[in-house]
Amino acid sequence: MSQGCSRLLRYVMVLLMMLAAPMLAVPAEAAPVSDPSHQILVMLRLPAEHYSPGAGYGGSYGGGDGRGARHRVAQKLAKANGLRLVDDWPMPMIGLDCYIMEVPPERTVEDAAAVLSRDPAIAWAEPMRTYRTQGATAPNPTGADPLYPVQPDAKEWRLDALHRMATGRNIRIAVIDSAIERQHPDLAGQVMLSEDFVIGRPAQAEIHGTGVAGIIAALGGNGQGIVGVAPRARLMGLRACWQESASSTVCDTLSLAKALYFAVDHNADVINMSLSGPSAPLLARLIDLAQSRGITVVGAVDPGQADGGFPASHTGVIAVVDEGGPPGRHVFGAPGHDIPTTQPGGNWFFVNGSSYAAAHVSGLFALLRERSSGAQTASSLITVQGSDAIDPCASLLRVAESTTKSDTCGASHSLAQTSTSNSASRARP
Amino acid sequence: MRLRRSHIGLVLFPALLVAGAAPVHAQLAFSASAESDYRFRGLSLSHGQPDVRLNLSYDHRSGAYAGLSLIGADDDNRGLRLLGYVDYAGYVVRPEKGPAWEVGATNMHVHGRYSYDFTEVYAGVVGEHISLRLSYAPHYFGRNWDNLYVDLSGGRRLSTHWRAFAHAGVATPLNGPFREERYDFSAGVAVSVRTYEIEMALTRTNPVPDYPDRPIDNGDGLLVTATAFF
Repeated sequence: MSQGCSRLLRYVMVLLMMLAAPMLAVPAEAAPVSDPSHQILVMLRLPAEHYSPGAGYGGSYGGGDGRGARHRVAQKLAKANGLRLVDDWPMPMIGLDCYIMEVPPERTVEDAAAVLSRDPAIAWAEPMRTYRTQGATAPNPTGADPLYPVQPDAKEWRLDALHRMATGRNIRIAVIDSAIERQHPDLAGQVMLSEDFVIGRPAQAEIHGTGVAGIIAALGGNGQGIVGVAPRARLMGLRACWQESASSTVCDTLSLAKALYFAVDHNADVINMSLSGPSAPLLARLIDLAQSRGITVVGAVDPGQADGGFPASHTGVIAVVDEGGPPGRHVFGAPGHDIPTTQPGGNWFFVNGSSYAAAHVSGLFALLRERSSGAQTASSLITVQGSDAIDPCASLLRVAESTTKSDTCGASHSLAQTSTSNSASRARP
Repeated sequence: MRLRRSHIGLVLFPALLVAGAAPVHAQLAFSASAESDYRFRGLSLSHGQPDVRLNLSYDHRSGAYAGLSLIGADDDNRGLRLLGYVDYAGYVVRPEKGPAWEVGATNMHVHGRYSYDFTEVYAGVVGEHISLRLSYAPHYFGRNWDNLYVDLSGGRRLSTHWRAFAHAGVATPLNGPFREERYDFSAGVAVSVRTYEIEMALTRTNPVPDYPDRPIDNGDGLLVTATAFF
């Protein structure tokens, strides 16, 4: 073959491959919709990247040599156990490839996961779980457009004094929740990126996520609405939950895992998880990964659970409850009752629940981390003596370690008067 | 028949498979690739002709790995034939924190228009998005000089189906008559769907006349590779 012909063949190959790529991207046939409540997650070991001459140039890292092998293994396992392979999601950061399999109606997901977990080819298998956000809309019997009173944190937390010391500037907060209304007047420009990890349920704006985002980072000084705890923070809107009704928002293991993985991979400083559900090994592993990288994870306590529910009960997670609610061990109290916040449609409304208390604490950690990058754990929080309620001024003054005159929360707080005793030592490490 | 380095390579790979006592579910991977050119560190070893590869790799849970890649091309206008093979074996450790590290050896045996037969040992550090590797080969490309090759490779997933990658390497003769360094660069993107992948890269190298009696083409320009994983 002449040189000219071979070169022509090369370019024809390029053209054909570029034309074929979009066709390959279209599924050959529509797969039947799978019910998450009948799914399990099966973890296969993802070998560490290593040298391979592969098919690329001079040896490549990051290719897909093992993908086919793992897919074969997963298909065999699914077939041998009467399951249907739905999808897969590799997680190189934790050395796992997650395969989603559908369990037939006559079997329980717990039984299927237990059987597969015994297979030596599998790291572990777990059922797909459901998680619920911990917030509710306050009743509005007149049906009038909601008004916003003075925010509880404006008085209790001395928000203006806090903002003289820090505003959460450039701190990245991942809001793992339902969809945030990015165009809301009080959130315009506050959401640096949005990702949607919910399959089959598109949405532009949902109540819970929009409300949590508003408490954390609503714009200040714009002449409308509320002021967030960290108005200069940068939000990552990671949709892992979907709105079932005005008072119910749900997430599942896979969507939460993908959102957590994304947050870690994109260098979040704080992760807010205003939700609760059963403990899940995959989520626990990812939370541990986040914490090992210095990310603060804040979780909302479910008062109906003895341990507060997961992830609040997980080691290292900042567990937050409405400070007006019943006290508990190893939890922090923050405003969570009749909180005005942003609502889809460019509105504001009142909300209740530990979801919104957790949002306050996520915002507070943005303030703390702005002044000290080491303020990552519960040990950075000081509580009001004799209660679980956080004293944000004392907490911020201590991490700031500043002697500037403006660093004061008023007569009751100043650097000189900050207690050196750390009641947060009652919290989990 | 005298045992040659190339035979050692052919024995090493299956020996590792047996020694590993791989259970049925061990990660044994197969893939087939078609490339617009067989390029190796800035050099076209198929003289600008497209090539096909059959790749076999094995990963043990301990971190041991091995692989074999058969290359076929028509580099002398006499039809598609077996150009050669590359086999490799190594060990990678992924600690709880920090990058993984690996050591290994690879054996290249190419008998095309010209023959290249050499063994190389390497050590590398593999991070999430970037890796650094140091390779040493006595009798590099079958010649009477030792060579040190250092390369830096990086990759980043852009979306579910797309990733970007880049590579830079420098080959330094440690002795011998030709002491000029050869640099090679490449950068490109890859798109993957299910178990198929297409890579498109631009490659570049500096022209170094280090093999005057067996000239090798510089591998500059667009390189396209299509791979199916089984």
